[in-house]
Amino acid sequence: MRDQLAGDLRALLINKRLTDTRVDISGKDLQLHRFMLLARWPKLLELCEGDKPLQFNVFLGERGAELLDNVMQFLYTDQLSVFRKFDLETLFEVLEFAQATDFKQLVRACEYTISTRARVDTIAEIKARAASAPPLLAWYIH
Amino acid sequence: MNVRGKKKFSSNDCFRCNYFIESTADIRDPSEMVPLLFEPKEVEEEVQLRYESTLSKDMLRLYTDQIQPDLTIVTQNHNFKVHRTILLTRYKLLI
Repeated sequence: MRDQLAGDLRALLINKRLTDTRVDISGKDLQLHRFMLLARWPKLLELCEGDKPLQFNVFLGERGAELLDNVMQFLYTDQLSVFRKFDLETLFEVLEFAQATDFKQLVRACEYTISTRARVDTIAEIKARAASAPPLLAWYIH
Repeated sequence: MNVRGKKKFSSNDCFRCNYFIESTADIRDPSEMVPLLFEPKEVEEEVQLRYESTLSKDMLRLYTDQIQPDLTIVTQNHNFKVHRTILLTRYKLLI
């Protein structure tokens, strides 16, 4: 049932039918649905009331558009599979973006995904950067 | 009195440390032992990061909290304030 809902909303994102809100993040124009932002990311509506686009380094550069597309898919579907392609560095950058824009579900998703990437060669980096994410820090200390 | 020293092994000795105790008179009753200065901490509950989807709750809250509905459906007994785009995508209705 939940997958059906996610599927319906993903279709809405892809076909852009009845979009009624435009948001500019790092110069990329996004056509979204106001109800989706009201339900899951109301802070973005507040932040985008001005004329200036929101600038975030993670969404600049060659992979910026692809990453932003993945974040929008997460907004509409709440599925963690969109994070599979993200490396640890990118996950932390997306986490910072989510914290800055008060996207709570994305914050939790990043923290969870980062915790699943804990390996011998990654744990030091996670420890160094976990200070900005209390749940992640608590998980690390434990 | 405990007398400790090295000696040849016998069947009652500790083979690991090569020491022996001749008398057990000084071994104290455990109930008389001085409590530890630091109480051992209770094992904390396991900290686990979990993720549960909130998509359906988020969508439902739009209706229950009446967050900026853009369509009113009037019936004989009740008026429903809903979101037009959700009706379109969930019920394939073009209103």
